[in-house]
Amino acid sequence: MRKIWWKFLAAGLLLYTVIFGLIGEVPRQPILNETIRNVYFHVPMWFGMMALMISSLVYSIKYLRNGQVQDDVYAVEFANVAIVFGVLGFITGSLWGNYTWGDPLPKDPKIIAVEVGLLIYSAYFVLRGSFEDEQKKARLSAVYNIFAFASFMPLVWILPRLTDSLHPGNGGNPAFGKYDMDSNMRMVFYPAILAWILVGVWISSLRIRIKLLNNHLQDNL
Amino acid sequence: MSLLNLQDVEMADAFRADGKIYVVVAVVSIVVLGLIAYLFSIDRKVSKLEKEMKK
Repeated sequence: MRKIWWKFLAAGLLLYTVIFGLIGEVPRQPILNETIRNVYFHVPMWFGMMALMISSLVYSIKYLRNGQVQDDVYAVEFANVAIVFGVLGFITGSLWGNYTWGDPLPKDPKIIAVEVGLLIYSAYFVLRGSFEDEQKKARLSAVYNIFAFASFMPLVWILPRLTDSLHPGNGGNPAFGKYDMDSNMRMVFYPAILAWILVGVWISSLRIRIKLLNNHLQDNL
Repeated sequence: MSLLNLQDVEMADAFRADGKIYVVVAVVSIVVLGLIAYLFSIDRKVSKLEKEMKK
């Protein structure tokens, strides 16, 4: 966590994303028009959220295996920032949908799934808030975190593919092939994903370090 | 001077090209750079506190 090079990488990639996301070449498509550029900013929010949720899951499992308080702190803060990314993805998505699908919140399986998923994750924080005993809090919320992850992923990745969705890449099994992207766009899209994931990890690491400092301070009082 | 001739006057047109999109690019870049700088400064503050804690 103390290495600095990846922070510069995050900064550089983010700047690259913003500049080339706005002025780079994109395919001309009806209805979407220039809003196809939102792919560089809306979609990476979800990738960032997924990456942070996976990190949170890993630390929850680690906590259950060895009971180190530190691992619990990592799990909570990764989940915290994951939710922030999720909410940003949700808001940007409804803004985008308003102008392309004609409705900020259409009845789309992916949107409904994500609403349910974010509610499941918010229950994680409610659960944490309801325990006085630190150990009990950490253990039960770690177990719940695993459940939340295990229900969130099928909800947003598998269920929308079983029906049909307004989102590209759903209904059937198309992976990235159907994102309407050309190679110009991929040159920005993949760095954008990496940039936003790194920024997410960076913010989480700051929150983790502050929380650990705070814990240390409380212990010494 | 007629309006047509005004088009020929040399100006610093780079930032006015393509419907002034480069102005937006510049503004967004400043916002991103500012936020990144802010993250770095928070990072340094936390590092300083961590060092003090170790003493």
